[in-house]
Amino acid sequence: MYRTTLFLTLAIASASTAAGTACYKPDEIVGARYLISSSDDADKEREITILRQTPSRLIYLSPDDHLTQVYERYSETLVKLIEYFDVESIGVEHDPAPTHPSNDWLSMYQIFPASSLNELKAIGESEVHCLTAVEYAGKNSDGAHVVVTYLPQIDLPASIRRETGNATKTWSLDQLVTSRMEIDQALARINTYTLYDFADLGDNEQEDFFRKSRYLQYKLGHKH
Amino acid sequence: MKPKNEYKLLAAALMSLILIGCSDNGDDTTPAPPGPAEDPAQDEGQEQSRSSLDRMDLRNNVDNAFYVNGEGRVAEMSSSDLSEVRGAAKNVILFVGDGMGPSTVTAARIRDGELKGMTWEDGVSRDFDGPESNDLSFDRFPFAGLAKTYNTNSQVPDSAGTMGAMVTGVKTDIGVFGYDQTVVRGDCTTGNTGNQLVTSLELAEIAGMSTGIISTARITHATPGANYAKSVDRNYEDISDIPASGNCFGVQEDIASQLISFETRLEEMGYVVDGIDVVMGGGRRHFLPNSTAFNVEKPVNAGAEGDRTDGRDLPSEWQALYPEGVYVTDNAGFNAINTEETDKVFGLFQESHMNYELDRSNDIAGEPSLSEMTSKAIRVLDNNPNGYFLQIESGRIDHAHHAGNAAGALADTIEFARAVQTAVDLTSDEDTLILVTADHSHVFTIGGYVKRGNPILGKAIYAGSDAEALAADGLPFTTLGYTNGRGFCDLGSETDSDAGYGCAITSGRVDISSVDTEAPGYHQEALIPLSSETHAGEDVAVYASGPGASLVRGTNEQNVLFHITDYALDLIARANAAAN
Repeated sequence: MYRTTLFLTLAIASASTAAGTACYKPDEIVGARYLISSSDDADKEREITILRQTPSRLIYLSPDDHLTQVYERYSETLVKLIEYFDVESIGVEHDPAPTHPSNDWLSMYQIFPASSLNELKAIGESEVHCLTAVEYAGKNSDGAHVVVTYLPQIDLPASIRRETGNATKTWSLDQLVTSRMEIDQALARINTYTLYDFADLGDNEQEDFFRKSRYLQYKLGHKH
Repeated sequence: MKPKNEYKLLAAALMSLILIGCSDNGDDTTPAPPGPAEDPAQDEGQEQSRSSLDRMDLRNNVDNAFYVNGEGRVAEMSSSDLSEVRGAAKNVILFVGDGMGPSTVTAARIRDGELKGMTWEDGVSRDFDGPESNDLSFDRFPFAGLAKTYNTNSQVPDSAGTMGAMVTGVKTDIGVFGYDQTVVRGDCTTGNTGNQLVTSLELAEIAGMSTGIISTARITHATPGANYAKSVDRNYEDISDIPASGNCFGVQEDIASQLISFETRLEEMGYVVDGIDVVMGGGRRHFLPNSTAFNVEKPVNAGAEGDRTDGRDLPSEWQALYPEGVYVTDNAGFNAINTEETDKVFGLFQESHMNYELDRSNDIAGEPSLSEMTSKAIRVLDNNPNGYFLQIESGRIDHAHHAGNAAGALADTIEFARAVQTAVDLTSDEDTLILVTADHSHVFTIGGYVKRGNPILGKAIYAGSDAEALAADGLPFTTLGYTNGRGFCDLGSETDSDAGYGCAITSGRVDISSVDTEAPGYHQEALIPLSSETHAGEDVAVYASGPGASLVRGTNEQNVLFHITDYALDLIARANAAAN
C-alpha cells in the first residue's frame, strides 16, 4: 500500500492545552480526541479521535470529514486499511499492504512514534490528567521544528506543535477516552455500511459514489 | 421426481441444434497451393492447375522466417478435420482471462517474449526472433474467432453478464447472473424459477461428469460465481452483503452459501449429482463467520477474517458434506493433496482475491499459481471416466487494468497462458476441448509507431531512431496507455497493482522523461479521469483446440460458447439421459 502516513501528514499542537483536570489511570484509556489546527487554515479547527480496539486494530474518527478509518495490523510490516464514508454509508476495504516507512503502524498507533522522540531533546516534565508528561523539542529529520508533550504511560502525545517555514500545525489533546462504548458505537455504525473491495471499484461503477469520483474527492480532501 | 419446469433443457437443446446446424457445414478450408500472380492472358476464373512451382521462384519469400512460420501454421491448421462429431469431447476446459482483450493478449505476448530473452536485430530482414514474434500458448491453437460481449442492457459489459452468457447460452443484464434479462438488478421479486437459467457446470454434474472451478479472484466473484449460483446482484457474495432494507434479505441465498448448497439444490430437484469436485480460489471472508475464532491468516487482534453475520462456518459445512474431501488454505496444504486419492478439493487461499502474480511471493502463508492450480485440478478431475467440465479464470488481469497498471495485467496474462499450456500438456486434443477467451476487454491501447524490439512497457522509440519520440507537447510517451482511469502514477518497484489507488487521479499528460516506465509499479497515463479504469466494449478473441474447436471461427455472440461446449460434449443430451 502506498499510503501517506498519518505521522507525515499530521498537524502538530501546543503542549499547554491538554484539557481538563480529571485524573486517569493508564490502563483505562482506550483512546484520545484531538483538536487540530493549522496556520494555513486558521479559522478551521478539526477534530480527530483515535480509538484502540486492540493492540492491532485502530479506529480513527474524523467527523469533520464524515470519515471513519480502521487500521488492522497483520504483521510487523503489513497493515490493512478500511475506509468508511459516513454520509454514503459505504466502506472501501484495502488489501493488507507493506507500510512505508516501516514504523508506519506506530505512527498510527502512537500518533507520534516514541522512536521519533529520539530525534528531539527532552526539556521538561509535568503531568497531564495525572499522567506523566515529558516535553521534547528540536528539529526532526525533515527539518521541521517540533515541540511535543508526550504521555509515555499511554504512548500518546498530549500535544504536538510543528513549524516548517511560516506554517505551523498543532495537535492538542481535547479528551482522553475511557469508555469502550465509544468503540462499540463506532463499530455498530460502520458494520451497517455496504463494503466494497478496493480492487472491485471498477466493477461497481453503477455506484454513484465511485462513478462520479466523490470517493476521490474524499481522499483528496481528507488531510490529518 | 423429474423436474419439468425448472430447467429449460428441451428449449436449450433445440436452440443448440439450430445453432450448430448453421455452423457444422464441413467447409473445406484447405488453402490453395502458393502460386504466382494470375497470368492476364489466362481465362478469367480458370483455376490454376500449376501447383509445383519451384521454390526458387519464391526464394525471397520462402527464405524468410515470417513466410516459413505462416506456411507452417497453414499446414498445421489445414491438417485438422473440420467435420466435427457431436459429443466427440470427453472433457471441456473453459479458460477465461478476465478483461483480457485483444490488446492485452498482444502486449502480453511481447512482454513474454522479452522475458524469454527474444531479441530483434534491426536491419536483418529474415529475423523472426523478436518478442513480437513470440506466441502465448493459446496463440498456437488451431482455431480462433471473435465474440461480441455486450450485455443485454449495456454496450460495455461486466463479468457477471458476460460469464453468464458463456455458461448458459443466454445473454443477460450487467451485474447479474443465473437469470435472463427480465431480471432487475437487486430486485428479488424479479428473479425466480421463471427466468432462472441452467449452466454448463450444472449440466455436467447432472450428466455424471466431474466439475471444477478455479479463479485467482474470490471464488464468489462474478466469473466463477456464474457457474454455480444465481444472483440478482453479483455483489451478494455473503449474507452481510445483502441489504437489510431491500427485498432480497431473507429471500436471496448469498453466493458463497450457494456454492455449499449446490449439490443439495440439484438433488432437491430430483437429480443425482455428487457436487462440485474442485473449487480453488480466494474469498475466505465470505465463507467464515464474523468472529476472530475462525481466522486463518489474520492475527486475532486485528479483527475477524470472516464477514458472515449469520454465524455459519461454510468450510466446516463443506467438510461435513464431503468428509473425504480436502479443505486447504495455503501452499503447504495445496502441495500435500494427493490427486489420485482425492476426489473433492476446496481451496480458499486468501481472505479476498488471491495475489497478483507479480506480488504472489509476498503472500503470508504462500499460495499456488494459476498454472499450479490448473495442474492439480486436472489431475483430480481426470480420475472420472465420464470426463469433466472445468472453468478456470485469471481474475486479476482485470483488476490490474482497473488500477491502470499494465505491468500487473501483463504478468497475470502470461501466467494465464502458462496455465493454458499446463492444460494442453496434461490432456489430449483427441478428447479434450480447450476454449480460451475473455469475458470483456479494457480501454487499454498499444500505440505510436514504435520500433520492433522496443520494450513494451517502455517509452516510444520510433523505427530508425534511438531517441525517445516526443509528442506534439514535447514530452515522451509510452507505447501502452489507457483511455480512461486514474492515470499516471510512479510507484517504482511496487508489485501490488492496487497500490495505485493510493495515488491522486492524474488525467492527461505528465513529463515522464526521468521515470522508469518499465518498473512494475508504473501506472500508465489516461485521458479521461475516472476513479477506476473501465472495461471496453470491443469484441474479444476466442481460441480453441480439441474436439469441436473448429466451431470457433468468425464473429459470434459470446453466448455461442455455451452451445459449442454443449456440442462438444453433447452435454444437454447426456444430462437428459442421466436425468431420465
